[in-house]
Amino acid sequence: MAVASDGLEDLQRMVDRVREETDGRPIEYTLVSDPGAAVIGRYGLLNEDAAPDRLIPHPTTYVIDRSGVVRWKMTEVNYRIRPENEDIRAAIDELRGR
Amino acid sequence: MRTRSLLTLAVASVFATACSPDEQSRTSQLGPLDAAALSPADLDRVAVGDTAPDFRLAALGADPVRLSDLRQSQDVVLVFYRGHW
Repeated sequence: MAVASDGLEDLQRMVDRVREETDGRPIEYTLVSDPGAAVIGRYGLLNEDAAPDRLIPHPTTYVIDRSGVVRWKMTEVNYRIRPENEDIRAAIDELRGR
Repeated sequence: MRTRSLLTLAVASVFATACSPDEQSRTSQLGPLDAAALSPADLDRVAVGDTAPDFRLAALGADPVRLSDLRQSQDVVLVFYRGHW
């Protein structure tokens, strides 16, 4: 599930663009809208220096287990260093006891 | 590059749909409404081992989603990203 402060119209525009740029590959996860950044702020992720007119989070990925506990987390402090699929997959595999 | 990032999310979410060990589900009421006095910028607030604050948000093309409902049946990869560009 992916959270941004975008309204649903902006989310739809992004989905359309991704579809165009990837030859129709759909986004297979849920996009949710946090227009007032209440959730972003609750997680402590609001980037107050990012832009005066937009509510932008520090990009962060969590792996959450079924009891709601955070089992893995990465906040991007450098846009060049992003979580890799393998990192996230490894965290999930560990969760499943593999 | 950002498109690649989105694909990363797609792959990650596929991996997230399988089962996890059974654990008693805890109720989390740490939602935004309970946290009005908290600073919106505190990157360490939700750390590994903490319960992820629950929330319910409007979803694109679907009914509103509540984190605590979603994680009942699957592990969840929760990604905060900057939004449209």
